[in-house]
Amino acid sequence: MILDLNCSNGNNLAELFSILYTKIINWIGMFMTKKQLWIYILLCCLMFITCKKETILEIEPNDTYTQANLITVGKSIDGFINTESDIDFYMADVTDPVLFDVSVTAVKGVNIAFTVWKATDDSIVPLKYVDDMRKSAPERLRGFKVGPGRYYVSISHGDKDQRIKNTENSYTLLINQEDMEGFESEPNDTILSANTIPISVPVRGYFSPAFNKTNTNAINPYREEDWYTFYVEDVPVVCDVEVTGVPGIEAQLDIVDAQGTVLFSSNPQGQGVSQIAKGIGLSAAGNYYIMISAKNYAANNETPYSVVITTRSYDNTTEIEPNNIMHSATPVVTDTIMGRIYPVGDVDFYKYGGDSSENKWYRVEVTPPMTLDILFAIYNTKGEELYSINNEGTGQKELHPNLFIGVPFYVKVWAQRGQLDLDNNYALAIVPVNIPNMIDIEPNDIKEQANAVQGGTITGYVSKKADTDYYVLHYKGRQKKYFTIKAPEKIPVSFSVTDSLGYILQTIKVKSGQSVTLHEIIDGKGYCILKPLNDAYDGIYYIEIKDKP
Amino acid sequence: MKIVKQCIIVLLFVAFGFIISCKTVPKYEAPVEPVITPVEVNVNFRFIAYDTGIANPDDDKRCYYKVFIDKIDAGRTTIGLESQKKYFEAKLSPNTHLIVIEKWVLDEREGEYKKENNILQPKPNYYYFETRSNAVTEVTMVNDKKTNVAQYSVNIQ
Repeated sequence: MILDLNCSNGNNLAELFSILYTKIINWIGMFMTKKQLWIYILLCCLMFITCKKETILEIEPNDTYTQANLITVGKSIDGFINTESDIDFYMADVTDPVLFDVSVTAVKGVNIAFTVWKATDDSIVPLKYVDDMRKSAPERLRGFKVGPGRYYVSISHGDKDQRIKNTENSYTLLINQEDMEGFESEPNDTILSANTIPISVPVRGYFSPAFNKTNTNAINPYREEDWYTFYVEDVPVVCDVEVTGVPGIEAQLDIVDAQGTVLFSSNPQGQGVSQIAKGIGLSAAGNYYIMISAKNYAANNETPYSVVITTRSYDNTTEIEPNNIMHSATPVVTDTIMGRIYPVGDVDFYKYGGDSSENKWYRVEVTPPMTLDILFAIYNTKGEELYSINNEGTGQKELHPNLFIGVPFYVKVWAQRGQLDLDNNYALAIVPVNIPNMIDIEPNDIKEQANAVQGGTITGYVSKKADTDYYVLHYKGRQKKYFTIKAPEKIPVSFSVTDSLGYILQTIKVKSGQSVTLHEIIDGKGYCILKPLNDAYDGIYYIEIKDKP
Repeated sequence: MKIVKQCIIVLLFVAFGFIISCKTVPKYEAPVEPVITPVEVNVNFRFIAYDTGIANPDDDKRCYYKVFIDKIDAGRTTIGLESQKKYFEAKLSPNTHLIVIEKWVLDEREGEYKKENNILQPKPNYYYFETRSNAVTEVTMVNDKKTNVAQYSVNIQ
């Protein structure tokens, strides 16, 4: 029959469908009654439902790989753990490289596990063992790279619990395949099987499975790890690595060099939070490795993480992580160098200068972002902490205006406990200064540390809050001396002269920016003490010592 | 044999005690001896002061005397215990002069010298004396610490 679809008025779509429906009904009416039509529709529906519920069941015996049941990717198969030692082998053939998503549903009361094998010429080799070591729990492995060939999946009882059979509840094995473009290639569980990752191209991976029984690392046994590697040729470079957050996963990110030295190890950031390594310095050409894992054996088979590496050439203006110890301090070759406090507890060491035993004066300043209460300390080459600077609070600059030291020396920068700032830099500035007659060598806060006065002029700094400076005077016999003190701008000071034992003979106060003269007899030896009278610092003062007014 | 062993143990304990005590003794810093040699060679006046009647060393404090000559701050004596002689020297014009003294005592807790309470200052705290250009006038003040009564004597050499 030819359907005449010409409409009477020709352009109304609804009318067209109505006519079409009438024609079809009339056409079917030529073969069967309306009752028969309804019965036919019902039968079709029944067949559809029955088809959907059609299951493929394992065929025992399939306890060895030679007896394995052939399965089709994308089609599930049911099976039973018939005995305590039952192992069910299945095999699938792969023609093109793909990613496998292998899942086995839970069996009530049974700790089920599975292994993925690859066929070789005359045997099979295990590729991945998946067992979350929980009863009545499903198992899943996602992002597993397979090339052309035959693969086997064996399902058995897991190791942890007592082996029991369950002939009433079946498991369902389903292997799906996914496009492997932009994904990790499991197994990449060790540094030797690391996936090569291109620079600046994101690669996705799964925190899957939860356990890796073959990981016998004493510190993190059974941890499922994903290893990636990248190659660096033009050194030195600085690299950034970012791993996106995945719901329910607290990620761990490590960066390791070819010798196995850990360059960066992330700190806990909480679940679902990105892990970022910024400014990791790579000074030797070669392969570097990234390890990504989930803490507490967590897994997420639904949402992949994404890892991306970016590199940039080093321009001497930023720190090179890791610089958490003196040995790996970032060299300072410019007046100012930038750094970040990230992650929590980050400590940055900097090395200033070459080899010279001659002491010189330097001004050291650290300007933090508004989010950080920064601290810094000065170390000598022996690793001894000489000065620790913490005068101000959050967002405020810390400084040491009169550091007298030979090079090289080290500056350690860190923030108060619990503080971090991934986005904003602090700036460390080290500037040589030349101030005539400066003899205020810190620390000289107590009598025993007093700086010796050679000539008749003392130039000093109020270097920190409540900075007390001691100077010792040595003369032949008793000498009457006139002391003229000029206080720093904005800092009133008190000035004392002591006897030979350091007991104060007299004290005067000098207003900020003003000069005062006093006289005192020095019995061969005496001390001068200068103290600020407010919380201000970074002020220069002058003391002139004369024999006559 | 047993006695020998006991002796050795006792000796070891004693030796250990010595070591421990040696460690805890603070480092001694010898005070600079006051140099009596005058700043200016041709001095013609010397003032010497010390206290008597101090029965207890705890009461013998470090001190000095601030010296005013003709009502001008001329300096201070050397520093010493109250019982020790403390010296002040100067070159003065040949004339009659007035010396007024002020006792300053070390407050060890504060680490500084403080002017002695007026009640405890030597009385009288002044003395008139004569100087010559070719002789040294030596005024000695002896203060009885119990009564705070000062006695002055003068010797022209």
